[in-house]
Amino acid sequence: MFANSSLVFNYSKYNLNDKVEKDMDVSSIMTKKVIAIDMDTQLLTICSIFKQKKFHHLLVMENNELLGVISDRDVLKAISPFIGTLAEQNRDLFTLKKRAHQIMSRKPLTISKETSMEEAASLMIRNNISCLPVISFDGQIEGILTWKDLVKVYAQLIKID
Amino acid sequence: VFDIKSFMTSDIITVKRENPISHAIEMLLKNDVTGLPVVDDDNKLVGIISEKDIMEIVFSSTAVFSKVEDYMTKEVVSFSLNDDFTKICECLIHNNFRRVPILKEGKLVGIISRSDIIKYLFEPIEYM
Repeated sequence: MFANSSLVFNYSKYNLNDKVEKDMDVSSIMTKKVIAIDMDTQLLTICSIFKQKKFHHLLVMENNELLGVISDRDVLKAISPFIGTLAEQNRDLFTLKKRAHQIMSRKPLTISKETSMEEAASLMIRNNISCLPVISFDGQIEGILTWKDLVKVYAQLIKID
Repeated sequence: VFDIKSFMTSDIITVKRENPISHAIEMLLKNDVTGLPVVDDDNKLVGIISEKDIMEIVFSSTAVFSKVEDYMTKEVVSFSLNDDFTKICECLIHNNFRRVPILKEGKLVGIISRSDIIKYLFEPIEYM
C-alpha cells in the first residue's frame, strides 16, 4: 500500500563550493516517493502508518488526484472526543472505523516543481504549515516538500555537516 | 490513573541558549525531531527551538551568526508529571506546537509529542 519513502538529497547536482541558490526550484530537493492513502482508509490503518514512519502528514488520493492531507493533529482531533475513554480502555472501535475522508483537511495548499525554495519557505511560514504537496499542471502528484527538505539545503548553505 | 511517565520520552536531546543557531539546526536534522528544549546548566527549561523558529530564518545569511536564544520561543507551555493526560492531549490538538515539555520542579524530565500520544493510545490495539 505504501512505498518506502526516503529523501535522496541530490548533492551531486550542486558544487558545494559554490552557493546553492535559494531561488532554485524545489524539484531536486522534494521527496519524490510519497505515501498516499485512499478516501476509505480507516483511522486504525492511518495510525499504524504514523507509528511506523517518522513523518507527520499523509496524502489522501483517488485516481492519482490529491484530495486532502491528514496530519498527526487531524488524527488527534479525530480521537479527541474519546480520549478519556481511550485513556482508560485504550480502544474505541467506533472511532477507529472512521475513514480518511472524515478526518482529512480538504483542498490543501500545493506548489509546482518550478516553485522556488524561497517561495516555498515563505508559503510554509505564512500559512503555518510544514509540508507542501508538489503537483503537476494536470493535477498529478509529483512529490512532497517538507520544512526539513528546506532546512537541509540551508544547512548546506551555511556548511553544517 | 494515567502515568505520564510511561509514555513520555525521557531521553531528551537539548540545546543551550548560548549555542550557535547552526548547532540547533544540526541537532534537529541529525536526530530527526521537530523541536528541541533549551535548558540552562541546572536543566531548567528556558525555551524551545522548533522547526518553525528555524523556518523563520531559513535562507537568511545573517542569522547564521546568531544564537539559539535569539530565535527560541521563550514562553513555553509545559506540564508536570501529575498533570491530567486529557489536558495534554487537548493542548496538542488546539495549539500549533507538536510537543510539550514535562517538568519536575522546573527541571526538564520529559517530552510528549503528538506521535507519542498516537503511539500510546493505539499500542494495545495491535494485540486485539
